[in-house]
Amino acid sequence: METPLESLSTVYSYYLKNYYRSKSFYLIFSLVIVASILMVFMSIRYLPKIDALFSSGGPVPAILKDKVVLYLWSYVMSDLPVFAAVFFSSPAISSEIENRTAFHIFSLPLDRSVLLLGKYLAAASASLISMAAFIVAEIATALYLFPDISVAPIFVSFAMLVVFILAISAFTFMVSSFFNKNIYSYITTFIIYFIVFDAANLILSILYNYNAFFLLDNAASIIPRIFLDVSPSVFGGQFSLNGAPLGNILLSLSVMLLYIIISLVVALVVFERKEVR
Amino acid sequence: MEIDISSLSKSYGKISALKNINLRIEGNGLVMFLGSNGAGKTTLFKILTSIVRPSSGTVRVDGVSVDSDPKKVLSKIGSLVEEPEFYPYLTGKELLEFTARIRGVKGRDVEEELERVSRLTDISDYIGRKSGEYSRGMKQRLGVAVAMVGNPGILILDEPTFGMDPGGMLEMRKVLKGMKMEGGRLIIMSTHLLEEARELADRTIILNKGVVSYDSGRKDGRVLVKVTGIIDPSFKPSNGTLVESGEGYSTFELSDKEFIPDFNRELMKSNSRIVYINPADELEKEFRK
Repeated sequence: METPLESLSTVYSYYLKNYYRSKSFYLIFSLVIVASILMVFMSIRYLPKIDALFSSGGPVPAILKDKVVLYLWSYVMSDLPVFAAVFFSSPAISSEIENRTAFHIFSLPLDRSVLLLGKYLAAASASLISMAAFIVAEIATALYLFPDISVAPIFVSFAMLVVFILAISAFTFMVSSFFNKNIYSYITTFIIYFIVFDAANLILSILYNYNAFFLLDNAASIIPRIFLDVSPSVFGGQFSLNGAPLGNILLSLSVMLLYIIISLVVALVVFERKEVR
Repeated sequence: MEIDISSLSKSYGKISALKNINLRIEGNGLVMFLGSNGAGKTTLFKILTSIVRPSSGTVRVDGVSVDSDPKKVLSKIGSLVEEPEFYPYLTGKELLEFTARIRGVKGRDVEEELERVSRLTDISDYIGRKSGEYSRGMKQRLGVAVAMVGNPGILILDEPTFGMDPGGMLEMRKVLKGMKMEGGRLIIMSTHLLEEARELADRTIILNKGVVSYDSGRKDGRVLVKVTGIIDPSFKPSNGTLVESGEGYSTFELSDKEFIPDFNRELMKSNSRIVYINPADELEKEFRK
């Protein structure tokens, strides 16, 4: 038998292959390319109009221009992992039951924890790969428009993106572990992320003037906030022309890491007990 | 190889799929579980392969409980349970490679192993195609090949000929016979086809509504004798009983095969008009129950 690490590597490589050959992958990849083209068009065509966004009357300094452009790119980018995760991770466990592949995979001498982890890493990698075009387009556009730009914040933003992909993938794995049908898994993930989280956010910020930092979508907002500390999703939230302070970055990072750990533990507990009738 | 099933029961809600099964299967050869749909065959196989857990009782393979150490048990078992489905974007070859690696086959041995199982199951022609493009029969064959990869000591095959056309069935039985001929392993298979059990099985166990209703491996010595002709109504064998009577034939159950000569003698002495006497098809009789 293979060692757990060898098994993890085997599971990861074959699942990744199955993911990136799938129609879902090509669909999300195509959508990301369309989004990249639109963003490049927006950046080049409307850059001269950035001045009009600010009512100060004077010209916007160059350093703020690059921040605005990068903020807009990252703002769009921070929603893409949610769609990618829904495509790749939502059906991750439910599909094993619905498509009956569990009969094959469950009867192999393989710890379910290794199977879950290998599949999770493969789904997260597929999400990241599918977004590669957007990341490349963002860097290329930024360097073309602002040759003297500092790349450090861009890499911090990308690092946060990777953690967010891991967090949203773990969260959708957890949701998927409760269901035996993909459709329930898709719908539940969308409802939780786009309705429950938003509603909780609004209620807490409007009624209690409380910033729900522990919600995953708020933590993910750090991806664009690296450039400008603006949270349009938080009612009456902060607005700063500087990037988010280190404390906020670390807080968001901690929240996302907690989502990864808790979601994976819950998913594993449910997955270990999963039976295929 | 030894499988010990003790007081095994499984319920799905209020439905009892298996009721207090006790069986011991050992050695090599082909053990066939025969039963109609819903008899409990697949549930038993799912428990053996750790796909579901028993409600009560234990299954031990070479002394190791499936429930407490599934990985160790599954390293000895290759299985095909229910209609096989595989990851659609992987080719047959990749699925076999994946299974081989999980089973610990390494390096060049993987290629050799793939060559061996492809040859035995006759899937070489389409092994390079994605499994999502396979027909049902092709998937069944790939499923058998996947079960065989790594040469596990026990093969569990749940109705491997299910849903195949007659030609496909014959081909699959040829494959199964080949595997049996190869020897050195215990094959546990299920079917709802009597002729398949007759053709392939070394031992047949009939499951009926979740209980074992017949086991050809049970060594209680009972034997059935079918007499064709007209039996004297007053005939009562001293070591047996009449169990079935039809048009032109009667079936007797003797408590041991050593009583067959006595039975024949007593029958000749009676006023019966006998055409011939032969062993009854016990399997068919039990299956019909």
